[in-house]
Amino acid sequence: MSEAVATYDPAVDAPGHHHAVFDYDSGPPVDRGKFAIWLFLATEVMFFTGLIGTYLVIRMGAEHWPNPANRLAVDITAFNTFVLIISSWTVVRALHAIQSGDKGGLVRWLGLSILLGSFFVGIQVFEYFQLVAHGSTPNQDLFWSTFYAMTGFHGLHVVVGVIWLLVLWVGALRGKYTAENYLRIELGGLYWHFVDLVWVLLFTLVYLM
Amino acid sequence: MSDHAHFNPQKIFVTLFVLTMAEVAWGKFMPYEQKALLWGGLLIFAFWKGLLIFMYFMHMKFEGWVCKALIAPTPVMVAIVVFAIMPDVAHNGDLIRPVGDQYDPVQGTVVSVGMSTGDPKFQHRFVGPDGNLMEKDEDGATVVVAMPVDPLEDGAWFVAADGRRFDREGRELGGASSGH
Repeated sequence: MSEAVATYDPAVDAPGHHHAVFDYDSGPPVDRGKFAIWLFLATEVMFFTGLIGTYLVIRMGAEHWPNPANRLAVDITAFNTFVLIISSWTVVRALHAIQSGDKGGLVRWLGLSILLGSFFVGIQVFEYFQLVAHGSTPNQDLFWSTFYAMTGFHGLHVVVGVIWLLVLWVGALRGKYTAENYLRIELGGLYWHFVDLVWVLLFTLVYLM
Repeated sequence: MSDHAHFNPQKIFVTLFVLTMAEVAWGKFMPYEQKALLWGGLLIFAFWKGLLIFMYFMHMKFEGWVCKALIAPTPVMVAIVVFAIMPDVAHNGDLIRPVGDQYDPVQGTVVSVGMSTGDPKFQHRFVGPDGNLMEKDEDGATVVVAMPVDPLEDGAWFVAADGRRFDREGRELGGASSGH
């Protein structure tokens, strides 16, 4: 019997008085934070679907489309893709560390993830500077406008992810998370893996196809 | 739930690593012209990797029905979006301004350059797969107009064998010709 029912007082809680007491939880059988993050990620899927869908319309409708290998530094970006995949793995390690009560491990793996994420953003910014210096600006043609739109919005997501991981890292430094209290690490990790997943698709669509 | 998410992250990571290497090799060595093979292979690699991240790193394989139900409608919605935009691709040739035409603020007109549809209604020049500036002659055959050069100070991106110079939009420099 729940505590609410055990403390039921007919003089106060009976119908006709103030409010009824119900002996059940109306929430879904999942943590609210996880429910929210998955709902949010579902909207993010639609956001990137809009971007990728528009790209596909433009791409498939054009008779001529330049070979991305002639315009983009595929090798450097392939390396950057490895970096992002490694960062996903380190975030998994961070979560596993705190689940087994290893607070030091959490700090180390989260810190490494932040470094890798920042490195990814740095390489992307470097790539943008190089392209713009050679006159490849978004207003040049549809190749470049779609390229900057998709990689730019993804890059913003990576920046948000790095900030999110930084906040978690500061909390980890203060010993905020334990083997029983690690949900926020899991939620931040879900967002980070999503950003990685989107990049896997974008890298293929934009750089290789 | 993730508490019961027993999997070997190293194994997934190594698989992702190998798949990415294989994908990049596929993209590099498969001829760009063989689009069905190139794109088909690349998409298989991409979705395979995406699925591994989604199922294991994001723990979806170990989640309860609520999280699965939350994300389940999105593939349907994605399919709806794709099918909704498909007519724009299928009927591109019937459009007055096909996808790829762009407004040129200098000329004040819509021009088909770069990634144009090649519709003869719109005289055009475009950059070919090799980076050359190309156009279609009266018989509809594709001919090379000029070769790419490092951008020059006067804005020339392509120089023809007879010395004519073109900017990166395919407009001839020092003359009135815009390809029309």
